[in-house]
Amino acid sequence: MEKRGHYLEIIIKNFLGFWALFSGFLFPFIIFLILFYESRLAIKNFGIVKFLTTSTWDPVSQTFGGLPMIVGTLISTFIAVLIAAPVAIGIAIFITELAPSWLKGVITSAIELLAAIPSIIYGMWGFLILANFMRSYVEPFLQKIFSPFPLLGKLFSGPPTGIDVFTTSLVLSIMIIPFMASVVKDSFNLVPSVMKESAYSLGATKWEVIKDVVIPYTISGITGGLVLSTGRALGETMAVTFLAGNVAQIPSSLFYPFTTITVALANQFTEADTPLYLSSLFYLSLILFVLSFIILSFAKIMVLRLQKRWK
Amino acid sequence: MKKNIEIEVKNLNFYYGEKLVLKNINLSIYRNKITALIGPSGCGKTTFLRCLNRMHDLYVGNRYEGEIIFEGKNILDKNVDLISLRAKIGMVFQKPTPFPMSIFDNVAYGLRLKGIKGSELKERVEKALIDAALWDEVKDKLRESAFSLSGGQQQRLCIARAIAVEPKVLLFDEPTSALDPISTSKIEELIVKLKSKITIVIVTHNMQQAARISDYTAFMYLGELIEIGPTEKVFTTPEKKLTEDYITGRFG
Repeated sequence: MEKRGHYLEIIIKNFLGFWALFSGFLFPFIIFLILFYESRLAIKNFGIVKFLTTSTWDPVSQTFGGLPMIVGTLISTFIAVLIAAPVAIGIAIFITELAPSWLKGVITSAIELLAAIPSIIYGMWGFLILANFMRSYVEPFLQKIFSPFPLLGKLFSGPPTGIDVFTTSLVLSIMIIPFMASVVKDSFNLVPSVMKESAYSLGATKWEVIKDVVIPYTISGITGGLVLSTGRALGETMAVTFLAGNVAQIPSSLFYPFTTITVALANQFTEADTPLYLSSLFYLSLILFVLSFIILSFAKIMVLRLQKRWK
Repeated sequence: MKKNIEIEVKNLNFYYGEKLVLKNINLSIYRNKITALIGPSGCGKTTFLRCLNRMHDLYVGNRYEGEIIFEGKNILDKNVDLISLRAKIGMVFQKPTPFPMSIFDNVAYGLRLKGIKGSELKERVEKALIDAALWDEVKDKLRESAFSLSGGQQQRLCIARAIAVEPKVLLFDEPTSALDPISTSKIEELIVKLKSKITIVIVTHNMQQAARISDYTAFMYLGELIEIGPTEKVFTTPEKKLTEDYITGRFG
C-alpha cells in the first residue's frame, strides 16, 4: 500500500514538473526560435539597427522598416498606462478603504464584468461611438485649451479625426483599468489590519493611513499590477486595429492616425505576397516578443528590489 | 481617590452586530498605575481594551452602550474626535507592527502627523527611543529599515512610536505573546518604567506577567467583569470562586 502511494507521488511530481517546465520555459523558447527562423530573411536584408530605425514601410518597393510600428506600440501603451494607473489605484482605494460594504460587492462585480468584455467589443464601441464623440467634442476642446502652450499645443495639434493615438490610448486604458484595479485591490487587501490599526492608534486619519501605510506596504503589488497591464496593452490587437487608422507613420501629435506592431500584423499577413514581406512581418512579431519580455523582466526586477528594500 | 482615576467605565455593553460580547462592565483605571486584564481566550479582554480607543469604529456593525469617562467626557459620544482621542490613548499590539519605513521615520510618524518638524522632531524621536530602551541599539542605524530589527527590538520600536506622541494612556494588547523570554522581560521592565508618566492597561494571557508587573488586576470571564482589585489581593485572596479557580489553573 505504502509503496504504491510513493510511486504515484513520483509520477505526479515528474508529470507536473514537466508541464511547468514546458509551458514556462520551453514553450516560449520554441516560439522565439520559430519567430527568429521565419524572420531570418528580413534580418539578413535589413539588419537590426536599420530595421529598428527606418520609418518607411513600403511593400511596393519592398522596403520595410519597423520604426513606426514600434513607436506606435510604445506610445499608445505608455499613454494608456498613464491614464489607467491613477484611475485604477483610485478604484482600488475606494473599494478597499472607503466604500460601504454593500457598494464594495457591487463595484467589484461590475469591474470583473468589465474585464470579461471581449476586446473586439471595445474596438467597435470605440470606433462607432467614442471616436465620433472625441472628434466632435473632446479633441476640439483639448485643442482650444492647450494650443496657447508651446509644447503641449504641438501635442494636441492636427485635424481632430477621432481615429488617432489619443482615442486608441483611451480605449486601451479603459480595457486595462479593470485588470489593474483588481490586482491593486487584491494587494491592498493583503495589508494586515493590525498595520492600519497601528497608524490609526497614533492618531492618523483615513487618508493618512492609505498614504503612509497601505500604499507603501503594497508598492510592489501596485507595480506588479501596472506592469501586467502594460503587457496586456502591448499585445492588444482588436481594439487597436479599429481605432489606430493603420497609417505607417510616426505620429507627430496625439491626433494623428498611426499603427502598432499588432495592427500591422493583423492587417497585412494575408496581403504579404513576397517572402521578404512575410519575413518582415515575422520580424515585427519577434520584436514585439522581445519587447514584452524586456518590459516584463524589468518590472519583475523592480518588484523584487522594492520587496527587498523593506525586508 | 476619585481624582486619581484616569478612565472610568460605567455600565459598558458592547455588541458585535447583534451579539452582546461585553456585559455591563464597571471599573476604574487609576492614573500612573498598571491595570492588567486577565481571563481565558474569548472572555472579551481585548474587545474591552479596544473600546478604550474606539478601535472598533474602524469596522462596521459594532455598537457601544454606556459610558467611558476620560478627561471629564464620555468618549463613546457620537461627536468625539477619534483622531485626537487616539493620540491621547495609544496602543501597542500583539505582534510588532513597524511601518515600511526607516527606524527614525517610524518613531517620527505620530509626531509628524501632529505637525512637529525639524530639531524638535529629532529630539523627541531620540527621547522616545531612549525611554523605550532602544536608543543604544539603533542610534547608528536610524535610517535603516525597521524590518532589519529583531522581533523584540521591533516591539520596543512600536512602544517608542506610541510614547513619542506623549499619550496619557497606553493600551497593550498581549505585547509579549510573540516574543522570547529575554525580549519579554525587557518589555516588562520597560512597561513598569513607563508608568511614572503614563497610565497603562495591559491585556495578558500570562498570569505570571500580570502578577509581576501590574498594580491592579481585572479578571474577565464570558464578557463579564468578575473581579477587579489590587493585584496582590486578586492573586492571593480573590473574592470570587471563579477568579480563584482561574488563577489556580483549574480552567483556562
